[in-house]
Amino acid sequence: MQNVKRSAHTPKTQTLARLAKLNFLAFGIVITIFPFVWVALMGTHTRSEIFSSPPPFYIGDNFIDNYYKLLEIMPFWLVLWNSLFISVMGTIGAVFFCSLCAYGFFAFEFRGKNIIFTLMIASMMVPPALLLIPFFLTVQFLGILDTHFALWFPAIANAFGIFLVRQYMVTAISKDLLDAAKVDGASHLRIFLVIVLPLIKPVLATLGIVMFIGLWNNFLSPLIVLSSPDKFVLTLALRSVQSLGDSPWGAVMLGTFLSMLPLLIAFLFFSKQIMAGLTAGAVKG
Amino acid sequence: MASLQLSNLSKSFNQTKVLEGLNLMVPEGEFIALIGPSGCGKSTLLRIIAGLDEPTSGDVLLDGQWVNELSPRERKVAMVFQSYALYPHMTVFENIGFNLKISKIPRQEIRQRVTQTAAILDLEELLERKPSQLSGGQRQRVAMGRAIVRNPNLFLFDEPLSNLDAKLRVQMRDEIKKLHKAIKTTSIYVTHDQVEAMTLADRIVILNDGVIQQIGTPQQLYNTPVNPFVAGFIGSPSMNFLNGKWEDDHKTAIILKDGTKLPAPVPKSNTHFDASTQNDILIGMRPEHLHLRPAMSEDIQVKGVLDHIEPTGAQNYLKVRVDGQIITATDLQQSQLQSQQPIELAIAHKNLHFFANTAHE
Amino acid sequence: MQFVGLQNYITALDDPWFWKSLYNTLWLAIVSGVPQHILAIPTAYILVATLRPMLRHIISATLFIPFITSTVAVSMIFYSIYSANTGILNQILVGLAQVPIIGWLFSWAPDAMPIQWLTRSDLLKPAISAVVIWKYTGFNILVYSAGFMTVPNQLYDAAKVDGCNRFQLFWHIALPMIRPFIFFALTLTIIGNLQLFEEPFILTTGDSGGIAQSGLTTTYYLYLVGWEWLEMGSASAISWILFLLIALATAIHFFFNGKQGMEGHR
Ligand SMILES: Nc1ncnc2c1ncn2[C@@H]1O[C@H](COP(=O)(O)OP(=O)(O)OP(=O)(O)O)[C@@H](O)[C@H]1O
Ligand SMILES: [Mg+2]
Repeated sequence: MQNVKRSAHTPKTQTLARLAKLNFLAFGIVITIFPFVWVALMGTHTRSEIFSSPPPFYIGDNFIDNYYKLLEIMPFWLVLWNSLFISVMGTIGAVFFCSLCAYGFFAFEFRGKNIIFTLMIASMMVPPALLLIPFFLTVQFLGILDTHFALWFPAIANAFGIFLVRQYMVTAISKDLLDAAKVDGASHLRIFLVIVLPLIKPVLATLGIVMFIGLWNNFLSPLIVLSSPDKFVLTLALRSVQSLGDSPWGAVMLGTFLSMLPLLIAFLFFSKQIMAGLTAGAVKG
Repeated sequence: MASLQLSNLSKSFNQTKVLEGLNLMVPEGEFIALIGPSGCGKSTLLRIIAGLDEPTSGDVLLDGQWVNELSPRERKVAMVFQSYALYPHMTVFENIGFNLKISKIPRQEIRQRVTQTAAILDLEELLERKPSQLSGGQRQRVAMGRAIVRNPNLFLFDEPLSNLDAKLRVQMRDEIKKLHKAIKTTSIYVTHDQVEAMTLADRIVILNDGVIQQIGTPQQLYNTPVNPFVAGFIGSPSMNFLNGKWEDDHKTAIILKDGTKLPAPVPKSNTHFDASTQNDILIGMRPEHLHLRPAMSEDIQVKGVLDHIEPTGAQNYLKVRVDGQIITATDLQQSQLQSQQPIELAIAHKNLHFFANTAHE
Repeated sequence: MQFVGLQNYITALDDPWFWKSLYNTLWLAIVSGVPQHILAIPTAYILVATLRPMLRHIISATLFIPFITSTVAVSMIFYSIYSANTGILNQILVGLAQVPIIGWLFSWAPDAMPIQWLTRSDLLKPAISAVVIWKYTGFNILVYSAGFMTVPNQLYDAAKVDGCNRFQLFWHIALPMIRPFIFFALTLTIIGNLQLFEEPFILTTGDSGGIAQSGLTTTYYLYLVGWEWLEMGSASAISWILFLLIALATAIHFFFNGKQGMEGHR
């Protein structure tokens, strides 16, 4: 039966289908990659080269000039450091506190636990845009407007993170294991640090990736919280030079490219983990 | 080592009662097996003794001390779990030594005690492996090692052998027995394998629906079960039961439902209940006590029709239709018999068990 | 703070810019949402059904890159690509008109120059949509790949024995089997697309929603009202209306697709 079907496809139509498929994929890849290549190239050209015709599809020699121009229009390294600081603090904090909280939901029975857990999950459904105003008003009320603290600290309490880690605990750690540790005389803190944390490393990596990428790329909350240019993060600083008169495009594109570079390099090495992490909610349903 | 006492222990989860009014005294060094059908509350009881769950009411005493509110750590109990619950990220050495490390025992001593334990359990070669690199039997031994390295007050086992294959189970059973002979720690051993319970335990506790049915040595449970549940639970194949009524006030014969008369002896006076005061009774007969021969003195005769034969190799089980139900008899001779052939079985008076027939009314 | 009743809501509903932003939001949600899935589903199927795992990973990872890069950076790049006078897009279009065989397809391009992608009210929204599609299709491909990988090979074999050709395998076996994934991915797209902000904001340089407010999404407007014009009360009203819109859209989606979607093939 299968053989009969096979022979219905002549080799010629098969090759054609294969060719079409490869072309389709190649086209998708070119479209996907092109803006990245283009931004990298533009970073090495002068403004007039960029806007020349035909466009300069080669590596230019204006990289150094663009770099100094970039430092002129924004304090690039300071801004990069700000982004890094916020992302690292938020990531470490979220990973630690989400796993602590998840342990609470996992290992303890207490009155109202299910209600609290359900509420927490429900809070994940609220669109971020709706939370913008309460977030801003809270930050304003606490008097931490225009601080980095206002950007990384609230990220620590993260319903998604708690949910993700708890779900992982349920599959990775048996209740017997906790009991065995209790019988061995371990306190809860000890069980958490010595037994649970080592066993949930994969999900901590996942959560860390999601948090870091989210914080690094964040734009809307810095936009409403930060006002002094020396506190700006990368996304804010980039957009602030977008509409400079007589824009130094080479420099702006160089900055844009450099701002993406850390994640791109990380993706080169950890693509499996990053992809798994960012689709974690999706694939496990 | 310690003695254990439970008094009036009850446990409910929300509204459902799981354990009710348990009383038990376990002297130092005794090996107790706890058996009962699935869901009867064995694990729950064990967890309460360990201090992992709290009883709803009643007391747990270790060495006469009230320990209800002590943590497992303070009770110094060791437990072997059905799933072994080995720490997957630690080596065998670290698994066995974890409790000692937590108890802040000096490294030197930990090393020495772990090595010693490993020697007893034949684990020396495996100390640097992770649990995932061990076979089922080896994991089981690590779980045992984790318990015995501690010199605990009390050993608790929750069906520790149920994940092993039949052969390994017998082998580990013997090792546990040897181990207990050597170190004599008070032990509570949960199982639902009665052979395991009979061979290992000094005394057996039978639990059903959260209530203790009977406590006794294996012989006591076999010879003088106090109720049909125990009688049916202990022994394989299970005891046969026939329903009957006394024929007259003199209690000299029992009439079965189909009218057959069984001349009955006066039940032994030392049994748990006075059969002569009851009207409806259950007569219990173990298959191994029913013999394929005519009745002699001190015997009663049970007549029936052979339904079919179940051969097992060493002996045949005869399935005989008596009084509208099928009973089992053991035939060591493996006689040649025809299906539907009339059968005469004999059983000695001393092997008859009498119970009040309450469940069937 | 002063209680003003429903005044803020009435102001919002009276405001033509607000209605415009709702229209733009819906327009963008649909035009930038639907093609993501129409592209992602067959691509994921091709990746899973015909490629070796290593190659599949390399391709899907490549297609995933836009998803992990910052929307601001990406929009900045596209801002320059779309640039009217000398942007690379327009230059490529002109260039294509000179290519021998396919040139006639683009013969209109030189005459149309310069195409004002970001400053013509009829081109701004499509331009924004293209960026959104470019950025999120890779994510959906990954979700659908995971979906297609849950389909047991035996099922394909059985269908082949029943005489299905490749297209029929896709249509009758694979597609119904990934229904829960489609449902899930659509839910994410709906919720995400109704909150579009960064792409239109950067592509219009944050300037009152672009030409004739044709790039003004509701979140964008929410930002303008709250943080540029400092009217938190009206902004709150807008955010609640936006929330209702998202809740309504999600509810409609759940109503029509939910039962089948969540049960899937089980
Ligand atoms: N945390 C709990 N909440 C509610 N009910 C429980 C809980 N733990 C146990 N039970 C119930 O208590 C009863 C006894 O459970 P237990 O685990 O002690 O049974 P068991 O005798 O060990 O059975 P098995 O032989 O199958 O292991 C069961 O009906 C069980 O459903
Ligand atoms: Mg149990």
